[in-house]
Amino acid sequence: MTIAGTDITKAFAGKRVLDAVSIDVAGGEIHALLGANGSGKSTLVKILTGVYQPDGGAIAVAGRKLDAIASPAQAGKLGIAVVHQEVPLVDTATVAECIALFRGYPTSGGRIRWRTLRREVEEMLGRFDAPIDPDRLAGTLSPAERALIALIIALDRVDEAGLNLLVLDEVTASLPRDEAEPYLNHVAALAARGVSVLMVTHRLAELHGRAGRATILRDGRTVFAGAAESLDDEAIVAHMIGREREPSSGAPARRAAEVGNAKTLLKIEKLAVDRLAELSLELHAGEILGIAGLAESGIAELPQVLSGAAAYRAGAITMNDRALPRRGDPRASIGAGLAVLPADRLRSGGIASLPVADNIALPDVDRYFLRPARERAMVEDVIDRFDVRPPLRQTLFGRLSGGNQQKALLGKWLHLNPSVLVLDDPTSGVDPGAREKIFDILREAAANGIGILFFSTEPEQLAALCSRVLVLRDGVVAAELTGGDLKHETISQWCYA
Amino acid sequence: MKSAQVVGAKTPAAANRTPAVRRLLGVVFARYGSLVLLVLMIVAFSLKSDQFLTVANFQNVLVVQSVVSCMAFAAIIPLIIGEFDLSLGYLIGFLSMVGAFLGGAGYGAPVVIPAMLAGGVLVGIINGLLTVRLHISSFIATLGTGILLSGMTLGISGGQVLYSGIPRLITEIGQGSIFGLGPAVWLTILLAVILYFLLEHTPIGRKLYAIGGSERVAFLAGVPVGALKVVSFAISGFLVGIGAIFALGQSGAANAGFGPELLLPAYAASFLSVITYRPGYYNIPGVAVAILLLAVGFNGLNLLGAPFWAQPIFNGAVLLIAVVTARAESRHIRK
Repeated sequence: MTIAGTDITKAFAGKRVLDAVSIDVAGGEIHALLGANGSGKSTLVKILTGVYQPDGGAIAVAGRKLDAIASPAQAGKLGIAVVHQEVPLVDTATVAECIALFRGYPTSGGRIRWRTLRREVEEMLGRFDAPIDPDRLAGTLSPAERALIALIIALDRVDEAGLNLLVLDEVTASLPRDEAEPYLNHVAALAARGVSVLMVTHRLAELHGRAGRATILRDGRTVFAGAAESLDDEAIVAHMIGREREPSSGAPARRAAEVGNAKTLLKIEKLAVDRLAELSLELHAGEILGIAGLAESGIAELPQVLSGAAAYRAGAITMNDRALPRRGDPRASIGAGLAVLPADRLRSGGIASLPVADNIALPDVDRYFLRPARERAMVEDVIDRFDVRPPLRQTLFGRLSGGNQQKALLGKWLHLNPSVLVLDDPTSGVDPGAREKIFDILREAAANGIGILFFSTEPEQLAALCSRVLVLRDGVVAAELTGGDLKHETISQWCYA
Repeated sequence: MKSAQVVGAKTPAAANRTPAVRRLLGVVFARYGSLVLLVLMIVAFSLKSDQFLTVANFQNVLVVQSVVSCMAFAAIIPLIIGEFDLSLGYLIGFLSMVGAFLGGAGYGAPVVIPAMLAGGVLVGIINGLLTVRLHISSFIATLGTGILLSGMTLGISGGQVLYSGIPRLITEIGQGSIFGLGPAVWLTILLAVILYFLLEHTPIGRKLYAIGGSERVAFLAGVPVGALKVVSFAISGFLVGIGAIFALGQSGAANAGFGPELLLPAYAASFLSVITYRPGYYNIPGVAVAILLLAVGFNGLNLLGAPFWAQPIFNGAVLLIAVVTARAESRHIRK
C-alpha cells in the first residue's frame, strides 16, 4: 500500500463535506474515485494533494503516518503527483519552455543552454512515444497532446522511484473519447510499472478493464468501496445518485402531451458546431425543455450559437419560421424573439460596474430615449416583479449576490417579451431561496406561452422543472425523456452511461 | 481598463442610516469635492492677490483652456469605451499645420475649416478601423498613427512656422470677443453641453458606457460594438479638429512642434473627471471641473509669484491627491 487515508473528515463553514471517508491505493493499481457533483470527491483529492488539511483522520504515505499534508509542495516531496483538468501551459511559449517553467532551465554561467533543454525535453517526450516537436508553440497542440504534456510535467516533479501516488483529476473530461484512449493506455502502462494511480472521472466506460478498485462517494460518505469488476454502469450510477432522495418540490410545467399540439417556436435541424454533430430539436410554446449532458457532450456550444455569439458550421436554426444567420449575430437572435442567459454571469451576463437599472435597460435602451420616467417605471417594475434585492435601481450589478444577479438578468430579458428563453446553467452560484424564485418565474413564463430551453448539469433540477428532457452525448441527442421516464435517476443514467 | 473589480458609490442602503444633513454632505463631498476645492481656491487666491478676481484675468484663464478642453473631450470618449487615443497630441499639430498650409495657399475659411474637421474625422476612423478590424491594441495603433502624423506635419511645414494667409474667421474665433468672452470659449461651452447630452441622455452614450463596462455583454445585448467604437474615434478626431481651429486662431501660426505637450494634460483632466459628478465614470461635467481646477491653480500660483516650475508640480500633485482621496470612486484608475 503506498497511500492510505483513514477516517478523513472535513467541514466548511460548519457543513460537513467529508464524513469519515477512507481510501487506499496500492502500488500498481488504478483506483477509481467516483461521485456526482458535490459528493466530496474534489475535497478528498485536495486533501490527498495538500491543498486542504483534514479536520480529522490520518494519512499514511509509503508507511509514514501523518495527520495532514501541509501544502502541495509537501505533497510533491512525499511523492504525490497531480494532473489537473486545466492544463498548465502558456499558449505563446514552446513546449520546451513550458516544461522548463516547471523543472527549471539548464544554465551555464547564467545563460540558458537551449540545446541541453531541447535534448532533455525530447527524451521526456520519447519516453511517452509522443512525437511532439519541443519547439512547437503550446497553443498549437491538440487537447490530447496538451493532456499528455501536463502528465509529463506532473511526473517530472517527482522521480519515478519515489512516486507514491499519481492523481488524475478529471483529466480526460476535455478530450474526445477516441483521443482519450491512447492517454489512458499510457496511464495503464505506468500502473503496470508499479505506480499507484487515483483516477477521478465521470466516464465510466474508461474504467472497464483498467481500474482495480473503485470508491464511490455520495454526500461526503463512502457508499461503495471494492473491486471495480463487480460494478456495472447501472450500479455505479445508482450508488452515485442514491435511490432514496426525495424529488424536488414544485410541479413541473405542462407535460409533453399538453404541449404536443402547441406552436413550434424554435426548430433546430442537423446543427453542427464544434463538438455538436447533427443535433435536431423542436421547442414548443409553453414547454420547458431541459437539455442535459456532461461538459464534453457539446452542451456548452448550443447556447452560444443561439445567442449569436458563435457561428455554426452546418444545419439550420429557425425561430418563428425565420432562419437565424449562420455567422452568428446577437441582433438577429434578439430580433427573432430569442433571449439567452449565458452561463458566465459576470463576463457575458451583466456589466458589474454599471447599476442594475442600466443593465436591465441595455437591450432596448433606444426605446427610452428622452423618456427617463418611463424607463424608471419599467426598471422598478422589473425589480419588483423579479424580486431583485436590494430593490434599488442604482446598486451596482457586481454588488448583488449571485441569485439576485440572475433575477435581474431574467428581468432584463423577459421584459422584452421574447418568445423563447434560453438559460445556460442558471442556478450555479445561486442560493436555494433565489433558485426557487427563479423556478417560479420560469414556470410562470412558460404558462404565458414562452418556450424555455433549460441547460443544466444537475439532473434533480431538470426533473423538477422540465416537461421534457433531451440528453446530449458525444454531440447528438442520446435520449428523449418524458412522462414517467423523466426522473433524475434516469437522466443521470443517460448522462453517465 | 476592463477591470471586473467593482468599487463604487456607497449603496443608498448604507446611507439611509445617517442623518439627512450628513447624508447631504456626504453626497456633496463624494460627487462635488473637487468643485468645493475649486471654490475654496478661488476665495483664497482672491484674498491673496488683487489681480486674481478681475474680468481680464478670467478671460485669460478661460481662453487658454478652450484648446485643452477640446483635447480632454477628445480623450474621454475613447476612454469611456475602454480604449486609448494617443494620437490626439500629434493630430492637433497636424490639423493646425494643414489649416495654415491651406490658408497660405489662398483658401478661405469655407475650405480650411471643413478640411481641418474632416481631417480629424478621417484620422479617427482610421484609428477605429485599426483597433476594431485589425484587432490592434488602440494604445499601439494610435501611437503609430500619431508618430506618422508628426512626420507629415513636419513635411507640410517644410521646416517653417506657417503664419501667412490664415483665414480671418479662424483668427476671430481664437482672438475675438463676444459678450466679454472669446468665441472659442462660447463654442467650448456649447460643445460641453452637447457632449454632456450625448453621453448622459442618449442611447448612444449609454451604449458607449456599456461597451466600456463589458464589450461582451454589450455585444450579446445587440449593441453594434465595432461600429460604435469607430464612431467614438471619429468623434474624438472631430473634437481635435475643433481644438486645432481654436489653437490656430489663438496663435495665428502653426508650428511643427506644437501638439504633443497637450496630450498628458488632456488625459490628466479626463482621469480627474472620475471623482466628480458621476463618481467612478469618465464624464463631461467632471472634465470641465477638472480643467477649471488645474487652470485656476496655475493662474493663482502665477499671480502669487510662484516659480516657473510650480505648475507641473501642482498639476501632478492635484491628480495624485484627488485620486488617492477619492480612491473608492476612482474605479477606472485603480487597476
